[in-house]
Parts: sequence; C-alpha cells; structure tokens
Amino acid sequence: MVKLIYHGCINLSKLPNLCEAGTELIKFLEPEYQELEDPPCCGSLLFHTDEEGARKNCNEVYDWLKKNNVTELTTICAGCYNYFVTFYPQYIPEFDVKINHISQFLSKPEYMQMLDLKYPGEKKIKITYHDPCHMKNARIPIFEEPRVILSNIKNVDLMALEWERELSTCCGAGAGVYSSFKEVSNFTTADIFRQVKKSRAKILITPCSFCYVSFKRLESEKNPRFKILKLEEFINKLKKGEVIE
Amino acid sequence: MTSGKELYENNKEKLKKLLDETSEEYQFADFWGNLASVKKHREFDEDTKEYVDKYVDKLRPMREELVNNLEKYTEQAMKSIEKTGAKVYLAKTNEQAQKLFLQELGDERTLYKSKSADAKEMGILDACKKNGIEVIETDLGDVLVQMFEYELPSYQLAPGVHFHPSQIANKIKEKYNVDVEPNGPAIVSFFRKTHRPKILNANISLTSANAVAADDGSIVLVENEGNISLLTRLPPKHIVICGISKIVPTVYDALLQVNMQERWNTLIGSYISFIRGPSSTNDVYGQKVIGMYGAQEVAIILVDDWRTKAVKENSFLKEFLHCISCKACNYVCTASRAVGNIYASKMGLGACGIIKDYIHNGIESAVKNGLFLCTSCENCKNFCPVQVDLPKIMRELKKIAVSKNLAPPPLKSYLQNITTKKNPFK
Ligand code: SF4
Ligand code: SF4
Repeated sequence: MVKLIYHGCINLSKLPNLCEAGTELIKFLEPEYQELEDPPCCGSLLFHTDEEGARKNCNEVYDWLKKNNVTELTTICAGCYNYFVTFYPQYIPEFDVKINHISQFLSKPEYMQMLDLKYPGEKKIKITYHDPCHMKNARIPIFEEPRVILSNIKNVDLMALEWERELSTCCGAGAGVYSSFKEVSNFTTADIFRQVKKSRAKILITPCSFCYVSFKRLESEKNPRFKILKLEEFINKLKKGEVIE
Repeated sequence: MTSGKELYENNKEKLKKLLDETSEEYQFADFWGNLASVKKHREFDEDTKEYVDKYVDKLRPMREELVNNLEKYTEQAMKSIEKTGAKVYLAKTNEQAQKLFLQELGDERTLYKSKSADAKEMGILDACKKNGIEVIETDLGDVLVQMFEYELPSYQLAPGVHFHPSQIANKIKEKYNVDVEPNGPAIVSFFRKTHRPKILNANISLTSANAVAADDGSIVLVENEGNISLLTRLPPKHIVICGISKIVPTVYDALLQVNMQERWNTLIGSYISFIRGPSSTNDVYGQKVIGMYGAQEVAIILVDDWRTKAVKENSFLKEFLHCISCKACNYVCTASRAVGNIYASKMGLGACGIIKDYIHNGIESAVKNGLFLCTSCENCKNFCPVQVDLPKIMRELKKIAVSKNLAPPPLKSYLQNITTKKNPFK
C-alpha cells in the first residue's frame, strides 16, 4: 500500500521549487508518503488529441501504479488531478487509485491544525485565489478546499476575484494552447491581473501549474504590484515563517 | 493537403494582426473582448432568472427527444406543414436546398432577406451571387455588414455590432452622401427611411426559423426590428430555409426554445411570429381563399445534409444537433474573447463556427480557422442552456487533425515526447 506524491511533468521538468514545497508539506503531514522514480506522464494532451494514445497511456500508467502498489496519490498539479479524476475512469472503469489534489489533502482539519498557519508580517495581508478550469470542470470539482485553507490562515484576508468559482476566467494555457498560441494567454492573463488589481490583493494564489506558468510569464512583462504564488509554495513559506515581500 | 506547419504559420500570421490597431481583426477583438464576458451575460435580472430557473432543465430532454427521433419528427413536421397550405421540401443536401431555393425563386432577381445563419451555412447566399440575384439585407446588422463590405466573421446575433457609430456615419456619407449624426437614433432613423420602403415593395422574402413545430407545422421566428414581421407578411411569397434540427416536437416546445434563446442572452425580442402557411380568409360565404393581406405563398425548405447521418451513425456530431443556436457560447469563449474573429469561420464565431466549418469544409479548414486555439476551458458547455458538449466535439476534431498531421508543430513535439519519453517537457 503506497501513498504517492505525484508532481506532474510540468512541475518535475520546469518547476522543481514547487515539487520541493509540495513534498515538504505532504511528508510533514503524512511521513509515509513517497516519491517514486521516473513517474510516467498522466497523458494530459493525449486526451485532447489522440484517442488510442490516451487509452494506451492510461493503461500503462494504471499498470505502473498497480505494480508499485499505489493505492492513493496526491498531486500538486490541477491538470493531473482533472485527468485522473475525470478521464481515467472513462478509459478504465475499474480505476481505483484514490486521487487527491494537494488542496484536498491540506484542508483536512487535523492538518490545518498541525500547520497552524499565520502570515508573519506586521500587518494583515490581502490575498486572492483564482479557480482554474482543471479544478472547476473536474468530475469532482474543487472550489471549497483551497478557500478553507486560505481563509483559515491568521493575519490573512482572502479577497474574492471579480470572476470566481464557476465564473472564473481561463488562463488561456489549457489543451496545449500555451505551447503554440501564447496570444490567448496574453489576453486572458491580463484580464485576470486586472481582476487581482481590483481585489486589492497583494498575493495571487493559484493551485494550477499551467495557470502559474502563464501568470509568471506575464508577471515578468507587466510587473504587477502583487506576487504570484502557487498554493503549496505559499503554504510552505508560511509554515517556515517566511515573510513574503 | 497543407501541412500542420503551414496551417500553424497561417494562424500565426493572422494573430499578428492583433498587434496592428488599424486592422479589422484588432478592432473586432478589441470590441469583443470587452463586450463578451461570462459575468456580464450570466447575471440575470430577477425576472429573467425566474424564467430561466423554471424552464432551463426542460430544454435538454426536449432536444434529446427530437435528436433521438429526428427522422420521425421531420416526417411529422412535413405533414403538418403541408396541412397549413405551405409547400414543404426536404432537401437531402445543401446543394439540393440551393436548387430548390432557386426553383422557388423563379424569375425573381431580387431577394429580401432577414438574418439567417442557416442560409449562409447552406450556401444560399453563394448560390444567389452565382446566379446574379441581388440580395437585399434587412436586418440592420447585416445591412451594416453589407454597407461596409465586411468579409470577416462577426457575431451572428448582431453582425454589425462592432462598428463604431462614427465609422457608420462616415460610411453613410461616403456611400449615400448624407450627413448623419454618429449616434444610434440618427443612424437607425436613416436606415428606417432608406430600407423600410424597400421591404414594402419586395416580391419574395427569405427567412430562417428559430423553431419549427412538428405537431402543428408552425414556423416560429423571433425578432426585435420588425423586419421579419414585414418580410413574412408583405411580399406575396415567403421562403423559409432551415436545418431539420430546428424542428421541435410540439408548438409548446417551440415557445420554450425561442424564449430560452432570448432569455439566456438577456435579450427580449419585440415580436414572436408563429406562421402557419399563407394568409387566407373564409369571409366570402365561408369559402377558404388563400392570399388575403399576408403572403399568398409560403415555401419551406427543410435541410438534412449531415444531420440524420450523424444520428444514424451515432457520430460525435450528433451532440451538436442539440444546439438551439442561442449563441450564448460566443460570449463566454476564452479563445474568442482573446482573439475575436480569428477564432471563427464564415459560419460563426467560436466552437460553433469551427464545427460547422469542419462539417462543410473539412478538417483542414477548421484548423486554418483556429481549431487549436480552443483551450478546452469548457465555458461554452458550462454556460450552454442545453449543455451541448462543444469541448468534447472540439477534442474529437483535434484528434482528427492530429491523425492527419495538421497539429501545430510545438504541440506535435509535446505529443511525441509523451509517447516516447513519458514526459512532454523532456
Ligand atoms: S452550443 Fe449551446 S450556447 Fe452555443 S449556440 Fe448552441 S445552444 Fe447556444
Ligand atoms: S472550450 Fe474552447 S470553444 Fe469552449 S469556451 Fe473554451 S476556448 Fe471556447
């Protein structure tokens, strides 16, 4: 019976700091969680583009999980969460690995208590949260858990974005569009930044690595007056008592 | 066949136009990105919300009943329409629809038409052009598009909505040498004066239908401007052309469908017409005489083309038949908001435009018109009153495109990496 930390390819390849933050948090709360070597890609883009490829990959990943006795996994990637929860059962009806997004994992009351999160600055800080498509459209949608986590942090005010929950704006990076047409995310991310500015938040939190990459690219261009942090990155910084400038 | 690389470069070239503030593409995208939003169009006033909440759940089952029994309801609709005294045809293909239409038009060389996405999709406008028939648009949006000779796709419910009043006033000066103030009332008043008398003299009109009731043959049309009311009553002959997916089982379903088309878009039209055949009277000794004040002749061309085939083959396109053409998905589309009418075909903006393009022009054309700009955000499905699974249809189209080597090269290399290296980013 293995509980697996499944980072997802984008994090493993491009965002090692997020993998570290996720691992630190998960292992702190449940030390039996493990990382395995060379995890296969969940298939992501194949679900949009290649029926047979997606089916084959699903089966291979399922076999890999079974071979390694994985019964439960927690991922820091909203995309992996969506594909596992929504698409895998369509290809493998008997799919029985329990899938958690890190927000579901962290929001358990006992873990919130263990973490006892507090923003260390002198003044209260305003933060805001963006609902990604991968979480709002998943077969089991996630809206509440991240809000439970964030609104329970002491010294933090969670501000609502103008468009949130089911109405939230897509970052424009999904389905591989980011690889070919950044023009879409140029517009949508700018629109999300406008909403963040309106919310007066100093930090934008995202639970999705694709949104994160999309936001970060525009951050370097637009220099907004707020920080962009991934959920596990933010929580891990608070756990360590880091002040976020 | 063009390669994925060439199509990608073509897409990129078009997208470059968004950087040029004077380009038509920039102007449309700028307008659309601001006008269209999830929030703006999903915040119903109380009255609309009450209506929508009460009735929206009835739509999908009604549409499923129709789609699952499309042939049966088409047959029933044909019989019911015939009983109304209208002529009715079932065109198997768009080409046949064009022939039937030209046959009904006879020697008439001028056609007055209302807004009709179906007529465009079925190639009626091209057939008119080819046969030297002058088409006079009467919907103000189409009138503007015609005046500007605007060739790019635009929003089908209001095709000229992106033109600025000052642009319109300048164009009127250029075309008609008339000074019109650049504001809505002045512009409307100008076209009321120029276009209303034309409709009064029309011989043959063409409209589509918002719904066709199988049980009593009613052709149901919704409008704001009054042009449809005039076009369907004043000319001696009225031709209707629409796809068989506009059929609904009963006249009550027709009312549900047209009301939802309006309310879901927070629009309330001024007129709803239920047309059952030509005008008539029984006032002379109880004898029924056809052709009193309204149309003397009504001809209805129902078009099948791809529709029953999709049902019979249970193909992924069957899902598309549930669509009631409310166009709400246009407002909420991520790609459309970002790039405007670059993600569109002649048959409409967004996913609906791309899917229709695939149906009629094939996969290469769909890719050329921006298939791979769809982010799969699912807004279109989430905000569709019938929950039409457009994202799933788009995924199917992408699968076809990838199998034909038409994917953008960066995406293709990601896909190869997933298969060979088990990681798209390696
Ligand atoms: S897909 Fe849905 S939202 Fe779009 S036009 Fe059709 S019915 Fe309306
Ligand atoms: S899934 Fe594609 S077509 Fe639908 S709203 Fe999103 S970008 Fe537009």
